[in-house]
Amino acid sequence: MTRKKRRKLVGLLFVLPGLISYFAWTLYPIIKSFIMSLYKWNINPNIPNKFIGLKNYTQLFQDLKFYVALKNTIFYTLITVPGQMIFGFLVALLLNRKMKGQTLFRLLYYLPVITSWVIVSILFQYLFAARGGLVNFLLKDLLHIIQKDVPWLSNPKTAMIPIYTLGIWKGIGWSMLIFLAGLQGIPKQLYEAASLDGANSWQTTTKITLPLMVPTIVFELVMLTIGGFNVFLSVYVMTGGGPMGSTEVLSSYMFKEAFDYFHFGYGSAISVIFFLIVFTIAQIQRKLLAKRSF
Amino acid sequence: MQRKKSKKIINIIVFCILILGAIIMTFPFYYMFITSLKETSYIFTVPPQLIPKPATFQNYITVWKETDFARYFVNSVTITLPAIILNVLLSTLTAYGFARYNFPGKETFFSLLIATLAVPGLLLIIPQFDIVSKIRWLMDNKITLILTGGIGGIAFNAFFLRGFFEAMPVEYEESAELDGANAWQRFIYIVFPQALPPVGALTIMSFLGIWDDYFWPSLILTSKNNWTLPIGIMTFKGQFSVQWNVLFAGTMISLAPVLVVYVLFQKYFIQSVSEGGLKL
Repeated sequence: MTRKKRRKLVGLLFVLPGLISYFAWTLYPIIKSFIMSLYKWNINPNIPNKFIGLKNYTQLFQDLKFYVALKNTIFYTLITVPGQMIFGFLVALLLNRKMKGQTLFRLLYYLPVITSWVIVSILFQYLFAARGGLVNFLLKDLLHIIQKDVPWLSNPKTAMIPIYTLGIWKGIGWSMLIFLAGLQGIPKQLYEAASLDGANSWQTTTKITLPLMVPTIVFELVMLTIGGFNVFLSVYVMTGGGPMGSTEVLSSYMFKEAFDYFHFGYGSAISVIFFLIVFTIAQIQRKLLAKRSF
Repeated sequence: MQRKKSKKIINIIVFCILILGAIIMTFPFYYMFITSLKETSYIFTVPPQLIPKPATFQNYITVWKETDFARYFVNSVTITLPAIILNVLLSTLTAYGFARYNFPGKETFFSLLIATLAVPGLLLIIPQFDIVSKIRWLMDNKITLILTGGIGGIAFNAFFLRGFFEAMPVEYEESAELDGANAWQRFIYIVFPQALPPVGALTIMSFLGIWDDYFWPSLILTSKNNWTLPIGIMTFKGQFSVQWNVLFAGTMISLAPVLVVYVLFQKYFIQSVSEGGLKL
């Protein structure tokens, strides 16, 4: 065997275990979920699966619960993505200077990111408890903004608010870290030159920082939008989709259909639609924002 | 002089805002911790106690001794450790192969990996469950979770690490090759030690993902003996819904290893996330 051929074989051996895992555990399931969505699927191997074509999809498009879940997911994304980005950007701007305790600040702001969704969701459920919850205490007894305790999670009108709050609070640290990396990538000379020309800090922020941060902003927007559409455990833990289905989101609805009612085909149809939406949005965001930067 | 003074004032203001922000970010954790030290009658007092009086470790003892929490903890460890090792090994091997070698179909395979990065892992759980449930031995077996944890996220990890391997100087490997080291030896003794920061970050990410995973293990591990910490916590939440102090003693125990790992390795972690995260 020649050396070149040998190297090819060695390379293939290096990637083979990973590639096999990928094919078996990612690619095959992706294809399979498309196939399953065309069946009335049975989890019991003794009962044959029944091919029903696009029936799951036609049913889905008439399903009011699906639209509620879609609406909630979209609102969640529209509110938490800008929330995380704005706060993350502000913190990054403030931290992007020589100062004492910078490492400690980064550590503290990143703490919610590394804590599991299960734990922070339980915690927020406690903070937003109707009676004796910390949030009601702050708003009622301390700041006098509200007159009486709000039953945040059991009122359909307010139930999404704790979920939004948690989504923003948990994501600020990641957003900050990525923005900080972007800010540190901007050459210092640009600011020095601008300051020699007499530019104030508002001008340097809008004329230098923001334009050069466009790739970072696009990256965050895409990643956070995908993340926003994936909202699941906070809803699952804090409200379970209730009261009366008012906080159901796409993923919780999908799980409910699949693992509570064993409608695996229908659940797969939801996940296919879900995937198509996420994929389309990510592509549009990339195209639109990439254009504006040039 | 004037300028220096105003700069100092700005610095103080910035510092104050940052401290206020840090309080908002960390206060919920503090509140969880002090609640775990409270006696049951003190958990919903108005105004809330900010320093527990009397403070007690009884809730931790209750959770550890009177429930199966110790077993959940052991289960979580026995699943997470081998799964991380498998995951890191598979990911580094794959990334290194893509970074250093040429083989037929290389770029096609890699673009395939990237193309599916946007597919949320959550969406695959239905077909994955269908696959596992068809093989009886895999159900209610901790080994299943070691395997699925080990092979999960390979696409993202390979993508994350490839750039680091490509940026590494190739000379060390070449001179080791001249000295007669084979590909495997070069990988273990030359490449791996140089890649420790990103591999460290990957290890932490892998750890968090597997340690905190709730839904997938709850589908696979049906018998109580096999449960992991998140499943235990969620079940407590159902049972002890009024006893937040006991529940939070449980969440604190589950959070502690994460905090230790994070504080010890945060430098590598932050560095690699901010550098690697941007390469998409």
